[in-house]
Formats: sequence, structure tokens, C-alpha cells
Amino acid sequence: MVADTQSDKELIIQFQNGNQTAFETLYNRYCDRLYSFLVYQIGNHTADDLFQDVMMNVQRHLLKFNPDGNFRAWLVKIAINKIRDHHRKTNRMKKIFRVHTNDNPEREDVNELSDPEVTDPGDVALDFVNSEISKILNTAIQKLPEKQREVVNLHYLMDLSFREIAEVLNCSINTISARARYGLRNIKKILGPKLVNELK
Amino acid sequence: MDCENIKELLPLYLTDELDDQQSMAVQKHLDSCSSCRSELDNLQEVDQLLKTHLKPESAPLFRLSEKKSKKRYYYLSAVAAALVLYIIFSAVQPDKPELTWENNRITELMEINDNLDILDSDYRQLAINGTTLPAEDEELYSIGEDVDYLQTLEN
Repeated sequence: MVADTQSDKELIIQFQNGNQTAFETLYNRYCDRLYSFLVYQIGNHTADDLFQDVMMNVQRHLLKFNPDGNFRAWLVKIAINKIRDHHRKTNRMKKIFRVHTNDNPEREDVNELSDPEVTDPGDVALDFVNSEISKILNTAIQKLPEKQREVVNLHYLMDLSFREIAEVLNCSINTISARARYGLRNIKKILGPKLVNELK
Repeated sequence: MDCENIKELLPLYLTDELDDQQSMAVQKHLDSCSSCRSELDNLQEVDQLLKTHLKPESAPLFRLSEKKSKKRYYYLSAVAAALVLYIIFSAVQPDKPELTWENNRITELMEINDNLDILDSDYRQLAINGTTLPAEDEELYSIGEDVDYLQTLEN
């Protein structure tokens, strides 16, 4: 049995010395947050498969991971690479089969800081007014443009600082801060000020 | 710094990720700008909401035993490689008799037969000397006789 009070570094060293239970403790520490991050980035169906892929990668490469490194950031990097691979594959398939969707690729640009299309602020919130608060927040986050959603998820789910996110995504910290700002503003807009007050 | 620059730094101000100089500049600006203060309040509101209420979903089970199946894969690969080598080895030595299960069994039976022959002669000698054999030895003796009989058939 490995105590959950141990640091990531201690657990990684134990795993590298052959203690499989240490990996299980690390897994239990991050699995839900990592899975949720994948769900909010790419949706439920694909998230299940990608989650298995990411964890297999982690288990395979953790033996060579430098225990002094940032494990959470490394975990997120693996997940983001998997998501990008997935996007590349699906985009290729869309091109091959000439599938036309309503997705607007412009919204995925690096410079995207636009507001999401909200015709009637508060509508989403009213639809979910009787469900759990977390689900309401999840729904709002999923409506954000991808780059903003990514930063919000990495900060609030994966617990990465904005500086860490900038390193993982290879962006300037000011870009990340701007995306976070627009992300938070848009969540409020999606939920509507009334619901935000009720949820507080 | 103008308002737009300050507003872009507000998330970093909230998480205390600005250096001292930037942090002081933002603080000084906030003291005199209601628009930026209002922006900070809005961000803080949602920030608190997410920190308090955002809960991750439960992850599906991950097959942590994946390593074991890998070991099994290596084991099976080793067995397969050994079989291939055996087949190649057998092919390049065609004169060597095949060691099939049946051949092994015949060799084993022949050894038993030889042992029974030895026992047989021992017990015959004992019988000649008038010694009474125990029941199980009687049985062995009769097997020996059967073997003798089989050998006469062979000849």
C-alpha cells in the first residue's frame, strides 16, 4: 500500500524501483481530472479511447521520466499530443470523404479571442437549472472556443498555473492570460449574470 | 500601461503569477480605474465558481495489468521462436529419428520390460529355492511370465 500523501516525485521514484502500487496511486490521483480534460476537449466517445492511449503511454515512459520534472505538465503534454493527433486524423478523414460540417475552422486560430455565439444569455443555464452546478459549469466550458476551453480546463481541472500552461502549449504567458480572461468572461456570458449570482 | 494591457494581465494578477514590478503596476492602476476593477470582479466571480464547484468526471477503468500481457506476449514469442528453431533443426538433420511421443513411450516400455526381465530371473531363482513370494511379488512374477510369452511371439 502506498500512501496518497506522498509527492509525485516520491511515487515516480518508487515506481521506477519496481513498485507497481506507486503507479496506481499516481493514476488514482490524476485519472479523473485527466479524463475530464479529454472529455471537455474532444467529447465523450473519443475521450475513452484516448484516455487508454494516454495512460498506456504514461505507464510505458514513466520509467525514463526524470522524477525532478513536472509530472502534471508532462501528463498534459502527452494528452495534448494525443488530442492533436486525433484532430489531424479526423481532419484528414473529413478531407478524404469531403464531409462538410458546420465547424468554423477560423475559430480555432491562434488569434481567436472572439466571443462565442450566444443569442440569448442565460438560455443554457435555464436548460440545466435543475442539474448539478458542476454539470452546468461543464456545459458552459464546452461551449467556449477551443483555445479558451483548453486554458480553462488545464488551469481549473489539471491544476496547472498559467506559466505551466504557457510552457506546455509553447505560447507566451500573455497569450495564455488573454485566453483565460476571455474564457472566464465568456463563461459568465454563457451562464448569464443571474445564474452566476445564484451559483455563488 | 493602458487599460487593455492591464486587463490582459488580470488572470495572472489573480493567480499571483506576476513579478513584483508588474503586480505593483496593476495594483496602482486598479486603485484609480473602475472599469478594470469591474473586470477583475467579474473574473474573480467566475474563478471562484470554477474553483469551488468544478468537479471532474469519473475516469473509465484503465487496464493497469497491461505490462503482464506484454510479458505473456514475450513468453509466447519465445515459445514460437523455439518451435521455429526446432523445425529448422529437424529439417537440417533428416537422419536423426523423430522423437515423437509414441517413440518415447516405446522406449519407456522397453526399459520396463528389461527391468521385469531382471526381476523375473531373480524370482525364478527364489522359487527354485522354495521361497514363498508375497502377493504383490506373485503379480510381478506373472507379468514376467507374460513378457516371456510376448517375446516368444516376437521371435
